[in-house]
Amino acid sequence: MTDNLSLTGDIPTVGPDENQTVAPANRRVTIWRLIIIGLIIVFVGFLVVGLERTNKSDWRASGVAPDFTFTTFDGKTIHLADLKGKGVVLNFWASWCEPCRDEAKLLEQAWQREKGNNIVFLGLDYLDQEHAAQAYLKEFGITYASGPDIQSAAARQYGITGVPETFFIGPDGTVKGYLLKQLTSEAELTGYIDAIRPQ
Amino acid sequence: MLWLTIAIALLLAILAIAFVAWPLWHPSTALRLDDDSPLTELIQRKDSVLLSIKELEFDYQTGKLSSEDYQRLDQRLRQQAISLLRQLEKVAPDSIALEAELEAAIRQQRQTVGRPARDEEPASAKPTTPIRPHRFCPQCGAPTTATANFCATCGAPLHKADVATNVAE
Amino acid sequence: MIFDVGYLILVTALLLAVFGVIAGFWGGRQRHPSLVDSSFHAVYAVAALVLLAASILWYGLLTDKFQVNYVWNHSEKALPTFYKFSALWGGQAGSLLFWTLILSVYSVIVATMFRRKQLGQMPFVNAVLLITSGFFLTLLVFAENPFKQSGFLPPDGQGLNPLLQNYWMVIHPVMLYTGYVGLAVPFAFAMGALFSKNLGNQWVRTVRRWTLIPWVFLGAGILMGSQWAYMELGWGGYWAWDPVENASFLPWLTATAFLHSIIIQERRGILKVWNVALIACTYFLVILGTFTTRSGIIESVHSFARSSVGIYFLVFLSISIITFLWLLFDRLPLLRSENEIDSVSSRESAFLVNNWLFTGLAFSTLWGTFFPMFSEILTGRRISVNAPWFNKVNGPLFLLLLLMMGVGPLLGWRRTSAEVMRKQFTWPVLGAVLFAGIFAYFSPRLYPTIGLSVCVLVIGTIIQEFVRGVIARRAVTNENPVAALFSLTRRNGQRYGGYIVHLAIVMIGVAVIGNTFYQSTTNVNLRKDQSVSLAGYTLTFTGLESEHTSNRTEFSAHVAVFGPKGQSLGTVSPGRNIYDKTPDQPTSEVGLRMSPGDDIYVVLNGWQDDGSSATFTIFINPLTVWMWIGGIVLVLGTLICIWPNPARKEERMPAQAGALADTAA
Repeated sequence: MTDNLSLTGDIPTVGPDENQTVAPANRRVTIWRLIIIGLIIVFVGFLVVGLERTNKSDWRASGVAPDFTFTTFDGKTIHLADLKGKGVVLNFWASWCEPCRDEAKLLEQAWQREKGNNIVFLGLDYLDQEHAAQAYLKEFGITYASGPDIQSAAARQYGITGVPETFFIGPDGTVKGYLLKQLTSEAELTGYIDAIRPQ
Repeated sequence: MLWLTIAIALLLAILAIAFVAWPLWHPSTALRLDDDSPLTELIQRKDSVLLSIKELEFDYQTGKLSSEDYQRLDQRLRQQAISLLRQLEKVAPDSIALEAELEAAIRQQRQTVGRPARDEEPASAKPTTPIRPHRFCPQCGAPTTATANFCATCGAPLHKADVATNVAE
Repeated sequence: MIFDVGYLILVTALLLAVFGVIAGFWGGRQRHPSLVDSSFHAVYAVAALVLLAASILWYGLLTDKFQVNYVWNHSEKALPTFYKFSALWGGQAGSLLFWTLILSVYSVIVATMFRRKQLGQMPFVNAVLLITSGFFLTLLVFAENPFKQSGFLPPDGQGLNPLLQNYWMVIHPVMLYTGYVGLAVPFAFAMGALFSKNLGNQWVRTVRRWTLIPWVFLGAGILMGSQWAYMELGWGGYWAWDPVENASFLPWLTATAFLHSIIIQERRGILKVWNVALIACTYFLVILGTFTTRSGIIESVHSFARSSVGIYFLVFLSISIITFLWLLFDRLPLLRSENEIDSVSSRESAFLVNNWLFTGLAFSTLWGTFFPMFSEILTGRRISVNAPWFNKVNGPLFLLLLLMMGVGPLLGWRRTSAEVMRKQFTWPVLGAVLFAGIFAYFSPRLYPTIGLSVCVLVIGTIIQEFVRGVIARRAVTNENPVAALFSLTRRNGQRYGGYIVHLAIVMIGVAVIGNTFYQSTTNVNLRKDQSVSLAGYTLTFTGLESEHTSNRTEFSAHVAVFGPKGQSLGTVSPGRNIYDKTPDQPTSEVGLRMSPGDDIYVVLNGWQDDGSSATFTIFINPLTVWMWIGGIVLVLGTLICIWPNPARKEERMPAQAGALADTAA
């Protein structure tokens, strides 16, 4: 965008209505306009595509599961990347969430069943208070690793919109499936787990 | 509780909207929407040229210009200033002020042809101090002739009060 | 309840902003005084409502109302009050509200100052500012409601990100936002000029100060961010060409170019289209920068959580660019140049080169920032562009800019004759060459020699300018030199303030050169009372202690420093803070001893609990302190630029114009 207009003498007449464009300059100006508009369209187009990809890939986690580390209520530190080779069932929950209560038993039962099959269950406690969460764990007798998701870091990475949500991560560390509502039946859960079962 | 919330929010909203809508029912006549006339633009252009003249002189004094260049450019700028003043006169013909200013500018030009002015930006020019042996413009501090109604350098009107004081001196 | 009211206040503000935009455009076009008046009132009302909303959120933060999600996520009971206050801009929704608040404050100041002046363009200025406010209010109302509540009352919050619990980090965003947001004002004036076809030099004059103010805030904000990175992140550097750093740097570059090129327009009536385009680019870069940091489109350490605001930004950006271009093309005939550039050896051509360099810098930085994304889209592979690339491309451009800084002020307007050139350049060039010779003898390295010599050239130019100015002034006034220097600076604030800003940039340049080429570093594990030597200094680990404060445990090691001759230079205490809420994210407290020559910079990396040994990274950073001194000088110089000239009353012109208009009527 340069100042490519033709020049007149030292002192121009002033007035808002003057409109005498200089003819030879017109063509150049048009070309410049096209170039500028083209560049901007391309740039914005790239931004749109980039945003689209960002949203698709990361908004709801898919492909490689975002890595995270958390400390369970009993003090163990768990790093997702260390669990490669195992199927991971990642459940976001909170003690204040009613549907979570409904699915808690199902999850624990499945955990007891699948423990020996190289399947790991992780419970991330979303926006909660510790003593309520402890009471919840005791109430449902939950034994798989559960801990607070500090500053909702993992929740953001996985793009959850609420609790409960459950992600199923395969042994290769990619997200194989997710459930954005509560679990309703054992069969449903088993179906998802089968998809992440290590060979 | 819900009703109270709505009531408070509504009250605030009504207050704000009333404030914004107020001028629609009480039009103010004080607003001047026409100060972007060509006149303003011309005056600004003139001021800018006058500023350039000053700057040019300063550049010359600090050695950024050879004396031929200085005289040539200074001459050109002063011509521009005069031409702008003439245009101003055309736009606002009733203004005696402009005539005087134009005269002063022409006089100034005649005086400075071939001779770089050295007397601009004078001393500790405290513009508002009226007691001084000579007359200076209260705006820019440039010296002015005793009879001028307007400053030749910046175009500011020179008040009679100043003249009186100086005469008394 | 009060938080529901807060949300409804935002909705009302949005509605009024929309009305104000319509009133501004319609009233400005039709020259309808009541509508124009109403647009002023809309600016005030929107600002009051936004302030009220921000106060409600502050109230929530300060009184621990954890039922509000934002408070819950970004505060906690044990957080010191100061940080509770600053948590307003610690997260996405709050910082958007804060953005809007600052913009509203700017709009109110502009509206008040121009309530009775320049009314041809003011309705459009109001409208453009309100469009920007309205856009951010749209985000707050539809995408990121800061008052969203969870429906139950958690007993404690999640805590503020520990990295943000640092007083630099409290001021830095405020400065940065104030600079960033303020650049909307000159843009609004440019748009006002385009809309009202009032395209002379008036808007350029009006806008100079309104650009300088945000510009200096932005500059200071960027430097404070570097200071924070330097003190807090503990990697020994201050600038990493991170996308978010770039996002704040880009508008600074174009705004700097704009500040220079409007001088030529004022003096010579050229580059009119360029100036309008430059300030528009600055505004678009501000929006683009906010977009990149908010949408998660580019990976960065600074990015906020991903959210749905991205698409809003893109739509807004596209619409505003299209409107601007349409308007610009329509008004091109009114933006014709009045003059030509007479000669290459003139000040205007130096300014022009300076503008190309700034634009080049902005372009390469923009390219580097977005290239990883482009490459991913085109080839499927993310090719990252890192600091060395930026240094390689931008380093030479900065060097050329420095050179122009030394050359430009020595040239006269229009044309500089050979004889004058000789007179002007002899001393600075001689000084630079002399310095280069001496410096190369002691430290024979090419790039630092060139860089520092150019710095000397610039300093020589500045000194010569001041000396000759003082001489010229004394020739007229016979003042004593100090008084002459003072009144010279006072009466020609724009020029001499500018030189002081140049001096500040040179200081920063010197610090950068010192750091880039002469930094020494080592990684070392020390037992208690064991020493290590680096760059002439000897450092001895003398012990470790820990202390628990309200929300964290502070560990700090003590390292005694000895100079080359064995003299004691005191103790530095690098440390780590481990926060109760986020033990896996310890923050680093750098042990720092600053001096004009070099900084001793020690980072504590690890330790034995009994304090018997500890691991350190030690940097000796030459000349770094000049960067922060340069920052202070930069602010001072800008203040001199902004300060009203005692001889020439700023508002004389409009008043006179009014008087003449009365006579004419």
